[in-house]
Amino acid sequence: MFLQLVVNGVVSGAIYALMAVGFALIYNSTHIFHLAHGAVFTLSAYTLFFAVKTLGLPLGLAILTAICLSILLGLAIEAWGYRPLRERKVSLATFLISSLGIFIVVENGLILLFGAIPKLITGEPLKAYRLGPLIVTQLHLAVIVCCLLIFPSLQFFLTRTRIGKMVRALSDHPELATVLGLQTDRIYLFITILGAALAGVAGIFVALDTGVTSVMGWDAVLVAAVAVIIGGVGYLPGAGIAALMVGLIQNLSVLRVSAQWQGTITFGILILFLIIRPKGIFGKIISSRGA
Amino acid sequence: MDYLFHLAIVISIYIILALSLNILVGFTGLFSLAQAAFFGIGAYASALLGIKLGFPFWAATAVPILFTMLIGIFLALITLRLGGDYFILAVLGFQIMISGVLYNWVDLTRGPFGLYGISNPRLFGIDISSNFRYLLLYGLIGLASYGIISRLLASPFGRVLKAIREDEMASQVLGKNVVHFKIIVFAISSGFAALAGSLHAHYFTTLHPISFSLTESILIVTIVILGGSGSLKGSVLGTIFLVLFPEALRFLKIPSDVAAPIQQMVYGFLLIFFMLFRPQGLVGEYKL
Repeated sequence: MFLQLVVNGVVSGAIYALMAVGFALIYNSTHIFHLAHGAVFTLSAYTLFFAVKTLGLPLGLAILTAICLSILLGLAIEAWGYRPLRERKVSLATFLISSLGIFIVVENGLILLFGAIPKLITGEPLKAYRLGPLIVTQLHLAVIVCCLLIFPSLQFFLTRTRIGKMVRALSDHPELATVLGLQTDRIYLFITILGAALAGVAGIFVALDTGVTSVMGWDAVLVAAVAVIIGGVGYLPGAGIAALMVGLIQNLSVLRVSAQWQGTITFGILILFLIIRPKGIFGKIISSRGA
Repeated sequence: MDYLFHLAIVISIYIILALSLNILVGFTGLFSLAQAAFFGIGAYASALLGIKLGFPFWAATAVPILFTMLIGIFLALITLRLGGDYFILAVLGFQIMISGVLYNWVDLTRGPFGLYGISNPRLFGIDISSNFRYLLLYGLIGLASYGIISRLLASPFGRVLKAIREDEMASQVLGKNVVHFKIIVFAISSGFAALAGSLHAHYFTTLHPISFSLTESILIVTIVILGGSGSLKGSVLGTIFLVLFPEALRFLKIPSDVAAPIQQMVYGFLLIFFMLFRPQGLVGEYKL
């Protein structure tokens, strides 16, 4: 039982990590508290449902469609939601409220289109393997393999390639990056694509695993935000590791309390961290940017 | 006529709620997505004191206000020493936690089954039972709240708040303890939210956690942004507009499973629109 919960925890933690790293990528370089990340995630899940169930597309093509639409939504948010605000140099709270607005509009637009009833993408066989007492589904393996591919390549990309270095330069010192002639708008677009694609992948996994619900975006983006802060703002792997931790704790807590308390537990962890170690596990400096 | 009274009563309750958030957002620049949580703590505390311990209306309102203020101070102490984003996320988390408690602590709150049997208010031997009497009482309390808050903000205390909002660093340099002021404002804000909660509990006489969810917090934020952060008149205007808006959808005979998401989408569009084109709201002075 315990080991099985650990396996489940690692899998859901890995999905959270996809969300959290995408959120951190955007948050670190733009300082936008990107709640609409949850909208991208939800759109991806609903797109997959629509492509598989209604259009009858093969799974691979459906996944591709979902990721493409996620990226498009991400780009639309950046171009029409955030960029006009950035040009006017508004406060970070303004970005946040705008992001919240975008999230609400997309979420409820999807409810209008698909109804509020949870959707299952059934018909996809979930083959399970038995390892002694453990049950691991094909999907769980896919999640792990995917994360093992995505995260190292992302790390390589950000530390070794030219554009990756530009992204980090922009995160560390936006003004200096601008002075040095980096085309910040392009880099923002690039970060948006990466972040949205990560959220899209996470949405697909959750849709295949537990189904599509209208409120799934909130849970995902809040855990992502919590993970970014617990992991330490400014350090990408920290967000991923913290997300893994939150997934594990959520799943193991089922041993003691009912699963309905998961949201409360997540934020319990956050508040605990804010009291004991506000800079996060791996954080070096605590940034006190105004809201 | 009774229906119009009902609307006016609901508006009175929400005006207090919107003002409570506006003190925070509009006068210190702190953005909170947890106003419904304080509203809920006030409502449930008031209802439970009345039902379980037989507290009269005035005591079942005063005690929850103090209790909620203490919780507000506790939350402020944890979050305010951190930067803005941490504050927003922690407060948002507080909202989720309180929702979780209201839904899941069934022994105390009756969770999703709802809490029933809250008595009518009785003041000075008068039973508040008709909608007209409710309106008189709640309207008076609403007016009094408006008066107290506007007096407070016009006082030297209020001027310090405005100074903090405009330039935190400069106020600090002038020797004002910024965190100290913010904690006081947070306490006042949660106190008024609890007052609205108690009024809500004693008017509807039943409580359900859904009235105190994140969605509700978003509605309160939308009211404040629409009216204009920092403008008390704006909050009144915003409340009237956004309380009457769902009623208008009802009159148009739109089925509720379509009306609910439409309503939410309108809130979302309002937030985006006002942030893009009119960050000071309808009548506000302060650009968030």
